[in-house]
Amino acid sequence: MTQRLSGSEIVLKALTDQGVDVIFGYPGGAVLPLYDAIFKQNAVRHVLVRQEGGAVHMAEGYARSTGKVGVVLVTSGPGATNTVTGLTDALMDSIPVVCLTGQVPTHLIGNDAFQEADTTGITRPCTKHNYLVRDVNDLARVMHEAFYVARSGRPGPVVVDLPKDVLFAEGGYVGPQTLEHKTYRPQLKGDPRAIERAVELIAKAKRPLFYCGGGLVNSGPRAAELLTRFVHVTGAPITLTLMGLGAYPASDKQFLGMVGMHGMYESNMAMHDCDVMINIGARFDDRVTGKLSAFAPNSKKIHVDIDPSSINKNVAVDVPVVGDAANVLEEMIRIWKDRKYALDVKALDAWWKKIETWRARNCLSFKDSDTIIKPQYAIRRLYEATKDKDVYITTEVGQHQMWAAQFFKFEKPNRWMTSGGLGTMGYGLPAAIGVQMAHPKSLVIDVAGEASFLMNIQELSTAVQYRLPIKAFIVNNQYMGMVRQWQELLHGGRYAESYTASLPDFVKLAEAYGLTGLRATKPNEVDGVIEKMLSTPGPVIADIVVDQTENCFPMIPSGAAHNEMILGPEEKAAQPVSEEGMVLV
Amino acid sequence: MSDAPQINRHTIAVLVDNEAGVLARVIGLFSGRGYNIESLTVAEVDPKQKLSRITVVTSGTAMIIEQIKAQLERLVPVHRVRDLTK
Repeated sequence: MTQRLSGSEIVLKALTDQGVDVIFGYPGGAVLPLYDAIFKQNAVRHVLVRQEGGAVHMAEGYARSTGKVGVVLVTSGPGATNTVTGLTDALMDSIPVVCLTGQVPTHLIGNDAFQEADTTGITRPCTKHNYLVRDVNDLARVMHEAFYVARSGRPGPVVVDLPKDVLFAEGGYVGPQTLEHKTYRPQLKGDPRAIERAVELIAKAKRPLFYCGGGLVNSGPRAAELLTRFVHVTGAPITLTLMGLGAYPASDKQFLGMVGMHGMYESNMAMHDCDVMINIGARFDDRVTGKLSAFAPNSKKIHVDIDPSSINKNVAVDVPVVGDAANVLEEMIRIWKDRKYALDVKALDAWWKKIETWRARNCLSFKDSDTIIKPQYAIRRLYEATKDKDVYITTEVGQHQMWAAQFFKFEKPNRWMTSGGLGTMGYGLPAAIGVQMAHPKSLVIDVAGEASFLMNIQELSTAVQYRLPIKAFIVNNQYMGMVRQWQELLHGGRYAESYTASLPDFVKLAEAYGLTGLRATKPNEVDGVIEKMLSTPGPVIADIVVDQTENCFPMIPSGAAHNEMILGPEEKAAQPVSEEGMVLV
Repeated sequence: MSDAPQINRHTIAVLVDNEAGVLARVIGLFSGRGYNIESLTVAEVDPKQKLSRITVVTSGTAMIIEQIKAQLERLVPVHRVRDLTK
């Protein structure tokens, strides 16, 4: 006979059986029975956030840095609606999150009851899947299914909506091992013939380029190892997307740096000129492709992705392979070795020579100053001070994010947490809290802009409550820097509403929250502040007051092709931004 | 002569679990991604296994139709997607 438990106990037991050790949440009327169950146990730790939006980003940071599922618990109505941004963020970046939401009792659903919202309706388009549990006897199965759906295939967020009466009712419990999903079976093994064709195509390449993304990080550390091995045996160059950083060691000489709108000149030029593109776990996002009609015009394209809907969505490819990156890479390496394939040495040599001329342009150079802190200088110094440490980096969204992506060199996956697809300002601080919960002894830094940082500033209080020694490194230019940059480049320098005329004093603000606050206003103060930030126990805000007018380069202007990159402020785009370019985001 | 890719009409049959919200998932996918629904029918086809069939007539380029099918297949309660127009 199965054990009879209350709905709340079933939820807790399912969490424990799924190996959950921490959840991020905020209580409220509809989830009180669940909080009562949490109170009575010690296996699952609860982190009390300050706003539910923060909870989802914390779960994302936790998930992205561990490879495990991040878990959120919020109440009905506003608790649930506050999670929508984070859920959309997790969907766009394929982050496994299970979000438990309270709901009014089943007999009140549809009555506009207090704190009622149509949570499954609202979250349907921003989750991988969602459930409304109406019967306590379905609860255990749904809980396990939610974890399975969240983490398998292309990961994503799953919402489980829990009416209050279901949490009180008694029902049977089933363990996770009994689950076999009737419809959802992601394809993990690639089609062997497609993989063969892909490898044959690579072997014939004269100007190959690996273009890899977040799918490698999601596949797990083995995928990154196999990728490194395969790239090494071929001798081909590789570029990574924003989400893929760390999937290939950045110090390796075959790595060209990040690709895309603010990617490296050499990566984008190589993307434009390659003859065989090997896309593994990236999705031809518009930040990467630029103008589609001019995207890698003379290339054959291989696309390995676990999600069939990613294939031929933006760019038509020649050899699609649906499968898990690690499995497919393993097969690719085996075939390459069995058939003793090797790239044409002469062609590869010429390709590398060409790449070296692009590299020689040194696209990250900037005009430094003795009097004013250049944001690139501050971020580069931060990287140099932390590169030998056990460090995790989160970011907010904007110029600082791109500079962090350019200047930080990641050697391993899961070390870089950023909001790529959705571009959610306010992501970095709560994400850093989630990362620090998972890695209490490691150094966790949120590279932030002041505007983004203010969007989830309330979570400083969470960091202090749990004594999480996160470091917030605010690159403060008083502007929404990326908005300002686009206004300069596209709207005649009319800086509509991108300047924050009244900012808090971040040092005093840090003190008010119980953190340490530091500030640098001159270039010669930067190193000292970084050193102090790193040596101070507990959470720190470092307010780095930087040049307000600096722009982020290199840049592919919107609507332009990869070979039309602007390298610096002296260089104007080849043509004024086209009308089609103007309407792009 | 225009070299724009040809737009074709397709009838797509989607076998789904007959559970709450499944129709909303399918039509939400169409509206959210900007695909057109020209006609739509829904009926339970297997009461024992609680299966329904949603039949959608839509139109688009070959790439869009392929994308619609892939997106439908990605939905968790979807058993099978058949293009009846092939």
